[in-house]
Amino acid sequence: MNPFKSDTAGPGRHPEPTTIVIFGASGDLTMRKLVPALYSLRSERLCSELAIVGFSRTAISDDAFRDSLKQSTDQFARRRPIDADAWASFGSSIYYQQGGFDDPASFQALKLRLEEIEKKRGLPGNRIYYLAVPPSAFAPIVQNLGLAGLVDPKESPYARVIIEKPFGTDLSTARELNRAIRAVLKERQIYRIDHYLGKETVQNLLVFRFANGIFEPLFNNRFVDHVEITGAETLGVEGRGGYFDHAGILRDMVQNHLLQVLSLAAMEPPVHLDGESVRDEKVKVLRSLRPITKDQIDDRVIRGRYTGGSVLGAAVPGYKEEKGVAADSRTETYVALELYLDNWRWAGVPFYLRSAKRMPKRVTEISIHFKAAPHRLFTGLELADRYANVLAIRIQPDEGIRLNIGTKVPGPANEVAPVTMEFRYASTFGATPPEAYERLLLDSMLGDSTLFIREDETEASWSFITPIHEAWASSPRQPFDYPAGTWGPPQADALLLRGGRQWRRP
Amino acid sequence: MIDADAKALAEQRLVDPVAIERELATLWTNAGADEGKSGVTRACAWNLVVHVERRPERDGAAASDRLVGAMKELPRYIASRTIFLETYGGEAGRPPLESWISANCLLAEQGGKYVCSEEITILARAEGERHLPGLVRALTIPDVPTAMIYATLPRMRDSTANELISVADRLIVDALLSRSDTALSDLLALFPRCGLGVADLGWRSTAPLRQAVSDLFEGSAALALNDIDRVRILAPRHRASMARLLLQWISACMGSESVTWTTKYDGRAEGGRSLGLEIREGEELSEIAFLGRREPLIARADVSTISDVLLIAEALASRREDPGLRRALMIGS
Repeated sequence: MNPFKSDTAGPGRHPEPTTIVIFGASGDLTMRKLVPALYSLRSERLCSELAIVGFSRTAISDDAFRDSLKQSTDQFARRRPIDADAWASFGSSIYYQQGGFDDPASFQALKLRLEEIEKKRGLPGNRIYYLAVPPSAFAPIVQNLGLAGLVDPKESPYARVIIEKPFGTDLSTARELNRAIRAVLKERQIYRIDHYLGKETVQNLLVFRFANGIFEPLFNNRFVDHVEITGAETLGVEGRGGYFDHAGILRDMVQNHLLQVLSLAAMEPPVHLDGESVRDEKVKVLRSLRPITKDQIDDRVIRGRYTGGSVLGAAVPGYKEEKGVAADSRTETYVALELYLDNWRWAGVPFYLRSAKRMPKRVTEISIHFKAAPHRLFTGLELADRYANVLAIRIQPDEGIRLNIGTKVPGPANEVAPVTMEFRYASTFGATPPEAYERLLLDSMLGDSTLFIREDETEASWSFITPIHEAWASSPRQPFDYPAGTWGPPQADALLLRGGRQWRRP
Repeated sequence: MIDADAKALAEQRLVDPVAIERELATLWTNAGADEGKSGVTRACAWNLVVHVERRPERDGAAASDRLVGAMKELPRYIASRTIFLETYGGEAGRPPLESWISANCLLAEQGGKYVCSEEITILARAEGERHLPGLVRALTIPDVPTAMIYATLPRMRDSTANELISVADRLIVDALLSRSDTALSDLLALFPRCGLGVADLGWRSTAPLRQAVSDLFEGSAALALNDIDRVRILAPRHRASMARLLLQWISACMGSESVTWTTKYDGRAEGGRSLGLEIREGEELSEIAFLGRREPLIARADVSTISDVLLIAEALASRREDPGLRRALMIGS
């Protein structure tokens, strides 16, 4: 132990020195997110000594691997360009090990290499294995880690495994994957990552709700009319037509990101702020989701598919013209759902979730729409009715919170106009919030699983989503068309309109 | 440093809404730093989308310039994000879309503080025009209403205009500046298209004259209405639409169902009350005469006293819509 550490480390939490093994070392995620995040953590002294070992099939040297990571980090790190001295130190901690994910001998070789690196760098043997690989490789890698004796369940030195989404493609595959992984690992060793949970504003949801006395008393069916959660992308399938055509937006965004955001927005206060207490409350929300039966599908779930249009000033093709998309595809690029939570707090309050590709802007937001005043004393409330009494929490981009209230327009008449009180992270704190992966990697080093998904959460969310996919599979209906660059098909507007509501324009 | 006189902090760049938002945030942060202790508050009560047609074949060039001039003065009255859309014909060698941002900072009416409005200008040439609705959707600020503003009337035959109007809570036009013979019926057709109503600047400018008419029949003077069988408005040709609309309004208020139009109205109506319009060149529209068995009653007011910027500010501040305008238009339909 470094006896000077506690006095010199500065504020925050500081993990022990760690070795991080990245499976899928030559992939986009490693280049764009993981290594830039580790570089930021290290250069800002938020974590201790690290060793990073890339593991992949490609045969390249340590130096070539370092060079490619230097290039990508320079392009994708939060603070650019990278500092030459900081990189010199960080880069020297990067290594590469060639191997096959399903080859036990490769894992024996990895074990020897790790022992050698840790000895050389004086690291204590704490290890994190990051599975930045396709889902089909999850189980073989974990099995081989177990066979090689690389994931001893003891607490110190620790061995943890981070698994990227998608965690299964439906309830049965998620269960199967959980069984395969749990045969090797204890649940406390598993960190199922959803990068949305690492976003500053998502974490701020807990602070906002449970550190302030003002709003939490209003978060219930007495005061809330409805809640909207929007996850909109301007991008199309971006060359991943083959993958996306099998997945669809419901799997790609809603099952994980949006349901996680929903669970944080709607959960009860946890007893403590530790991983188990928070996740206990989140899973209760997921279990309280009222199932959507087959005969309700068309009323409560609207799926759409973009046609050609204009996004951000550029003409874009329709989904069916994208490379890799099947000619007879019925995959949805837009989905809107009307959800209900059958619990004491939210009984009767509709939650409207929508997620889509090729929207007018990239934005992820939660908006809480409060009920109107019980007695209308004022006239001229048309604008206020539409825009006031909304609390909007922007998760990305431009993270922040807006509260809209109705206020009197100066003058002799009692005109009411909506005005906004707004907080933006970038303006208030003068810096861009850390990347989600920075926070999540740091938490995994600290053994804090609060922002990771537990086995029962994945199964609860798939239990809700899978029947929707099954109903779609047995229906001949095509998704509704919407032009790229618009907010979706008109049928999604009707979903809210029947309750006298309309989608908030994010 | 923030200067007076609407100093533009413009820098030309490509149309990238993400970059535009980032640059606007930086612009405000820098403005706050320059202002020191007094600070700068970023506020917005409206998204104002101003669509200006710059094609040579379209009418209303002077009206467009006037509207843009008025919009530059608007920050004195209301905090907004203004998006100027300027559409041109195709020009060889020029990109279909260009954009830039600027801060328009003016001394507030009461003095003391600068009020800044953030402005985004997008130039669209030829096929670039079809990208405008998507860009507007990307650039409007959430949780505040959106107004579409036109110098005359939107061309509803264009899909771009239709799409743009579909995002608007309020539509502000000046139908009376249009050269179209169908301007008033076109204006009436816009009402169902816009959730929170249509405001017509020309109509709003007649408020002093309408007030003068109302004042004429205040209290017991209202009895004189029983003796009125003719109404005469003298107006130059360029104010003919405005005069006609006023007459329709009077007709609606008086319970008449028809209006007689003449270019030279000088006769007494046969078989009852008639409302007539007389066009007389060389005189500004400033009086309405109520004629009958007694002395003429004349309402006088100047319709050109209210500045355009005030008319726009009032159109934004007033609630839902002006019921008088719709009633007047219905009479003529």
